[in-house]
Amino acid sequence: MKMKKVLAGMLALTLALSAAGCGKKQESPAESPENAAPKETIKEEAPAESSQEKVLRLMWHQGIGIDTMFESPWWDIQHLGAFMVFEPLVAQEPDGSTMAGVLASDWEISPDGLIYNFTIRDGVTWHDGTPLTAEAVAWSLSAAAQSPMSQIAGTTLKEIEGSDEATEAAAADANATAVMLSGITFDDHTVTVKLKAPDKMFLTQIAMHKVMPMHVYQNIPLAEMKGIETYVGTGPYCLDQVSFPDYYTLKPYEGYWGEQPGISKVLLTSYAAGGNDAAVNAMIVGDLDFVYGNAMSDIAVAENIVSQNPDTTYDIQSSTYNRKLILNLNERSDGKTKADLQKKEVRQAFNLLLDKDSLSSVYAGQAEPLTTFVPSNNPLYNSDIPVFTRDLELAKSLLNGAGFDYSQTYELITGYTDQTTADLLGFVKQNFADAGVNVEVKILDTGTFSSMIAEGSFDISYGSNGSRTNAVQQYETVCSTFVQDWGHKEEREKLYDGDYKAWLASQDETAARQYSDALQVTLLDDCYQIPIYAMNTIVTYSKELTLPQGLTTYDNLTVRNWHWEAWTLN
Amino acid sequence: MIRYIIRRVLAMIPKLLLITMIVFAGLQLLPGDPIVRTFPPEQLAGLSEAQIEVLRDQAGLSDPLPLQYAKWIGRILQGDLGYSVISGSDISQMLATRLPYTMELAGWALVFSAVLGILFGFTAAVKQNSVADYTLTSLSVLGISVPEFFFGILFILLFSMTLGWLPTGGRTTAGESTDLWSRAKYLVMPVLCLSISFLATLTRYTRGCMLDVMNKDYIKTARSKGLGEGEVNLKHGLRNAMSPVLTWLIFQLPSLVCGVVVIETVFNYPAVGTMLLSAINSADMPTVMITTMMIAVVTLIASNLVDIVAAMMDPRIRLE
Repeated sequence: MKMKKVLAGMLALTLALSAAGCGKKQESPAESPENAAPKETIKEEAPAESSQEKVLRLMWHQGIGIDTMFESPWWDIQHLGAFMVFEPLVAQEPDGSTMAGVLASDWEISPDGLIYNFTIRDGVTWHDGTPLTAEAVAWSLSAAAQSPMSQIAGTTLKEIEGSDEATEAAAADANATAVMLSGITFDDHTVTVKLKAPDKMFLTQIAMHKVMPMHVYQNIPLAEMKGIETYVGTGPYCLDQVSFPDYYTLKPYEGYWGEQPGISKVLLTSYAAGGNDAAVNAMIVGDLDFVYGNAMSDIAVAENIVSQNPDTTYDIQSSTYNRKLILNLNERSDGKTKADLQKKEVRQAFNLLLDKDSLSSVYAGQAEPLTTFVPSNNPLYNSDIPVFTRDLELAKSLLNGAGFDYSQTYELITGYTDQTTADLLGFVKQNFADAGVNVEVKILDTGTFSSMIAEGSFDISYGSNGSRTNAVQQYETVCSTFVQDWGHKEEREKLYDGDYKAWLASQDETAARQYSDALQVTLLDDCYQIPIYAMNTIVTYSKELTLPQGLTTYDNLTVRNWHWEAWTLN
Repeated sequence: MIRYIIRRVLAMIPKLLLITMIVFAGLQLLPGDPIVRTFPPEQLAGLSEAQIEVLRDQAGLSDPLPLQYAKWIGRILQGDLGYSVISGSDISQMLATRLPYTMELAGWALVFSAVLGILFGFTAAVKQNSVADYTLTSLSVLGISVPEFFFGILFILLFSMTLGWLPTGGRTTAGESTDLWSRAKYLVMPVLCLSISFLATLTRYTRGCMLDVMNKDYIKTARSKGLGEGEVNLKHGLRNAMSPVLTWLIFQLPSLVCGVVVIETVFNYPAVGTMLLSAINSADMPTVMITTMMIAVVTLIASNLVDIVAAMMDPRIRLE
């Protein structure tokens, strides 16, 4: 009898848990005093889809925060849903060069390249009906510049006058909220941004900044701007239904200032639990219509999807993204400093040891070997520099000439955990071993990788340059020490303040080429970082989907004008 | 009996405290600063020391370790489970959302494997050395030896990609009802995978217990009294064999909850397991601590339940 009771109890428990598991659609997230966001109308049950209704199915790829909140579009700059809900001031057209106004109807740049004057578009409202104001745009730029949770605070927005002082002041208080930067002023219709130094890439880079509503988020401390409880933007889509941690849906925003989007419903499903493998499976069985982003940008993955699901296809976008080796020239806190890396000849030898042709072939059709950070097919490539070839003998003689200590083992770390990277770093290790250089490869989770980078506990790091829209901009991470300091600070800062800034300020093409050439020559000689290959981006999508002309031709999609009105689903 | 139960519950408290201390100490061994781990290197480089310090203060990481631990325990006792340092989400809310999903998976796997495992074990025992016995024993060995995730991948290949019968993963369909029937298609594969090794072990265990009981004198007595084979097997054999089997079943509950971690990942099923996994990866200490403590509580409860059930079935135990 007792056994029966136990068994009956187990069954009852399971049924009860199933009932609990049923749950119900999540209400709009609980309102907190700091985050008093106006609520979207969240329905208990979504209306049954009519057989004609086409749903665009996308990947909600954020790894964190899906239980109770969204990742802020300042933190996750790649999320497709954020591109639909939030808008930038300007965006780059699919042709990869022309800039179009989005929330700015017009803009002017002063002749000295220091002042950007944006005219804010009339008739734009936030999804809660509040009109967009110039003050809100000014606040959004200022807050993003001061928030540690903004991906472009330390680079593009740092160029705005007053950003350093405001960030420093905000950092003193955990509950600090944003103040207007001294370099940002506004009146009824315009926002004026003053830069510390001319930066011809500023307009393109500012397209990464999605404007968030001041009236919703202004009371949230800057340090907490990573997760937001609701999505209120100005974009063509607004939030429809949220079911944490599974999915959310978007619907066209009827009060949108521009053309209505071409697809009437968007479903964004979370693949945070299963990761990329789960998303790949979903593409194969046709549960996803469009995937892109760092994690899915692997031609082997795309080919696998297309071979198993003939209703899908992929495009290769030309990109400024590249992979490189960073050499740690600083003294290591754990006492394992490799003094030989201070010698230019040793760094040059390391560069010559790499068989970049073979390494690139791991991403056949997607990657090409790099001599400098500018690909050889780019018009800005310094044609006086011969295209790179591996030279084992020269490398050995450079090492021997520099008195290289062959007994030491160099730690090569990476935060990429995929099999392709593991294979590739195996080849790199072999390349070094060919000259008797010992390399130990450590593949780390991203958290440990970040920690080791921050502590400088490594000799060589395999990483990437990604978020810049021009190949020459990749030199910012090579020669500026405020981005990352890997030693030889004075020399690098001299380069940054010299040729790099001169290139950023140059308006005429001849001068720009002269500075760009000089950067390539100097840094190829110094070899602080070793470019391995340029890597184009892969976008995989359903053939049922019609995309705006040229959208998948050029990366960087984070600055692109997505033209949602031109998207259709057959 | 009540005094016995109270004694068991009180004995859980020091064990729980010890577990929390071990988890807390273990997390300190993770390399690097917990705040630093949450930022991509390039963005981290753009942050000033003061900004990082503020984030560290906010997460309560600036205090000495014993104080951090004491504060954390103090908050738990007041019902405040804290906030994730990664997302800022309320951990109690995160658990409230996800725990039912994990328990649902584990619960169905428990029922499925218990019913079939006992049935298969019983059949293998009463048909000892028959084809059925050899088949079930061989399949059990296979079920125990092959890891759950491998079955998961096989099932996805077969049922989702080849046959197209079931979704590759997820928990629910947008816009559809969230009742059990609508979600059944999402539950089939994860529950099957989670059940396999449990079912296989239980089959072998039940078979062993049954064979043990069937050799006892009282079974021979029952037979000599002229009882039918069915009555002997079911009433005297299975019933007596069930006592250790049930004890084992309850004791396996925590391992079932832990097994969910892998299965949730394979089937993109957002529940507690994947939450713990991502929290460990990102050194989200408050979330790891609470989730681990929750699993420890389940384990302790299960372990005590075993004792209590055993005591209910055998009064000699509670008298001891």
